[in-house]
Amino acid sequence: MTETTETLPLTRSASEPKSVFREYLESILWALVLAFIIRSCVVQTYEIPSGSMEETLQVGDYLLVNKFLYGIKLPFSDQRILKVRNPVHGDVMVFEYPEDRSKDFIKRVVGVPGDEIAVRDKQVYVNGVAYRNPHEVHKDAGVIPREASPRDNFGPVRVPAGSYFMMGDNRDRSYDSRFWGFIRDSDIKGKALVKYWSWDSGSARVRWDRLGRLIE
Amino acid sequence: MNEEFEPSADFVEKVMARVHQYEAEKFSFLNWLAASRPLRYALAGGGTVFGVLKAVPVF
Repeated sequence: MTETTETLPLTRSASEPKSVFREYLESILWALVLAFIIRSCVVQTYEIPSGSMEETLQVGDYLLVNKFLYGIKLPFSDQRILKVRNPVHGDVMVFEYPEDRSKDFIKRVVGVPGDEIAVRDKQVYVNGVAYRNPHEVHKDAGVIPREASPRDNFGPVRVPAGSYFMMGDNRDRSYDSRFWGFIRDSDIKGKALVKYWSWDSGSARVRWDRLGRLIE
Repeated sequence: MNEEFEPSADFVEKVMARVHQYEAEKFSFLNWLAASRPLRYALAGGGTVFGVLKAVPVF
């Protein structure tokens, strides 16, 4: 029996140190991939530029939004996977604004599929029962007639399957489902979770008392 | 082994001291910093955090 030896071709071995440039490039790519996955599937941050959800959310609040509770949306599709639960009354949700998909809105769920929604002189009724949310505020005592605006008198309307009726907590200064209709399940971005930062630009100070507060 | 050519007891120590001196002269602090793994991890981790915390306006 004869023994033969083979000469292995010279290849870059796994233990060969990488160049500093390549290591930094890989680190940057990993950072981008990780940030993208976290923002898409776990948590995304939003800032509040308008007062439609006052006093729950004020201008200058920064939020973390849970992206997986209602299911992780698959890219280029309306399908969701790994859904934990469906939206329920009172959830504060971020969604694509149906009239301008480049903008995101944040409102509270008032109607879920099958509900009948009506507003009579500012009072919201869900399935004929007065819906009172402890977070809602009215900053205008006047009542606008139905013919002039749907703000204070609206409906009744039935929420279709796979749709939701959304309203801002600042009822008199919120542009919501009363004006532009329902949102679809595929429009939902996530559930508002917690305020992690709050900046009052008027008085140039941090609203420390709001930091870390859950959004209920 | 010919004792005439046997290395002294501190031969390795002397050679390594010269190697370390050479390396120290060859690499500046900035080079050392750029090659630092903890720094790279900290930058990548910080970049990830900033990427996640980039807030989108929501009306």
